[in-house]
Amino acid sequence: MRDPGLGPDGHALNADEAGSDHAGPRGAPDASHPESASLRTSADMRADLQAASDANLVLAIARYHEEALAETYRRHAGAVFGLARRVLWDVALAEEVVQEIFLRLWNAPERFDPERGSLRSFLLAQTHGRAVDLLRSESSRRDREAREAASTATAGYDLEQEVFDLAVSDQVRQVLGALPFDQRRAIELAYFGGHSYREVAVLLNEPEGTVKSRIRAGLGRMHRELASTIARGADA
Amino acid sequence: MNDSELESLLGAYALDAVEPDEALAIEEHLAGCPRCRAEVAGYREVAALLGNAGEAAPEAVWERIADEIAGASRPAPPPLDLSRMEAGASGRPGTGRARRRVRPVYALAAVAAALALVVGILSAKVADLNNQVNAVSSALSRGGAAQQFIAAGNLPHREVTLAAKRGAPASARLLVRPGGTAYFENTAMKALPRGRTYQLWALASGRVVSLGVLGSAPHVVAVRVEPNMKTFMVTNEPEGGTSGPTTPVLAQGTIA
Repeated sequence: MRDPGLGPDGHALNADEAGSDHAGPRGAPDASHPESASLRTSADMRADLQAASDANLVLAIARYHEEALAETYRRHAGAVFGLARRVLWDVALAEEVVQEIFLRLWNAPERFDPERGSLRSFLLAQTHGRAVDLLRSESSRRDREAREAASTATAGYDLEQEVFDLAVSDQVRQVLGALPFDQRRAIELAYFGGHSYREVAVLLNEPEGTVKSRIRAGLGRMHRELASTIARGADA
Repeated sequence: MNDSELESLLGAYALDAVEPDEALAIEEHLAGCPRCRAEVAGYREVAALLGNAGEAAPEAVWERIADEIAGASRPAPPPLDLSRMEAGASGRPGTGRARRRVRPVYALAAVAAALALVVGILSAKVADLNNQVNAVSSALSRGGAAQQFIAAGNLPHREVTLAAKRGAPASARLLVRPGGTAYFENTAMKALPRGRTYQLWALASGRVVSLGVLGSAPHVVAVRVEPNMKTFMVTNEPEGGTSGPTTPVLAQGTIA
């Protein structure tokens, strides 16, 4: 009953030959099949998983598909970890944040609303919020003050350099670099330093109102200039 | 705070740089203000670009996550009216979820199952269902793996032609891969009116089981086919799908 030219593994579909149970895990090599066929099958699956949109991965996560969470992790955990580490300056703490963020996605995937933005920005907003919470907790506040004092004393606290060390795209770096210095500095202190706008105002010795409008103006300008990048990201 | 004071804080809010009481007031405002919601969402996209340090995903953390979710007692997934096929599927969620560990890099399995399950989940959701299913199938059709597979046409597969009756022109076809991944491709079925969806069924050991809803204007939809499924049918059903066909079969075909 095989179609001519079907290929040697066509029989896997045939219940009479293959039985009603699957011979093994999907994508696993089957001893009765030539290796090349198994490889193609496996590549086909990988392509499918990798082609799935973020929104579809989240739908599959809602059905408790660990593989979908694994693919989401592969796509976004590096960014989550990078941001957490950047804000917390502590690898172990950053790893805890990564774990927490992905477990949250696993347990409450419905909190992600694709209408409201990309999965990447959803995850990073959660990451940032959690990292800032940790930073503002009493114990790490003390560490942080000590750390900031130390780094200011030794090498000078060079936020500018730190930002440029990030592996952000050239375009983002360029757009950030083109912001008026005051706007950029306020954004960096708030986002990477985890400071509230009131703290930023104290640090920069500026009125609070000035700081909050600089943050908003700077983000607005970056958003306009990065609009096409953001739209491309949302498609992915 | 009045509205303009709240709005002046939106940038700082998007960066988690406001005080807790301000955050509460802003969130209350956002709940009723789509314009400000969009503004915050835009700032968060910018922040995501800034925060994207492009590091490698820490693999040790994935091990911890995999352990955690394998050991956790979670409520069973909501029962589905549809997709009874899942009862026999290897990637069956909920009961009997294997305590195995999936590595992100090697997590190649169960893609079609995941996609079929997407259809399954959608069937459980009432609102906007057809739109979502159409989005899934159009996403697949935009250079997706299914499309490439169909275009390539030379990977091992069986093709089932679905037609209104024997000898009639094909309405659709189903390309079944050896592992059970299958792609439904609509070739001649017209878009359905609002509130209706095509649904794909299989005859499996004498039972009619749903393979999932296809949307009102499907192009390519990935489904999961079990080895004991030989005959496939398409019907026109209410949006959201049904647990058994309620209308005459529009197209059917059997694996040769």
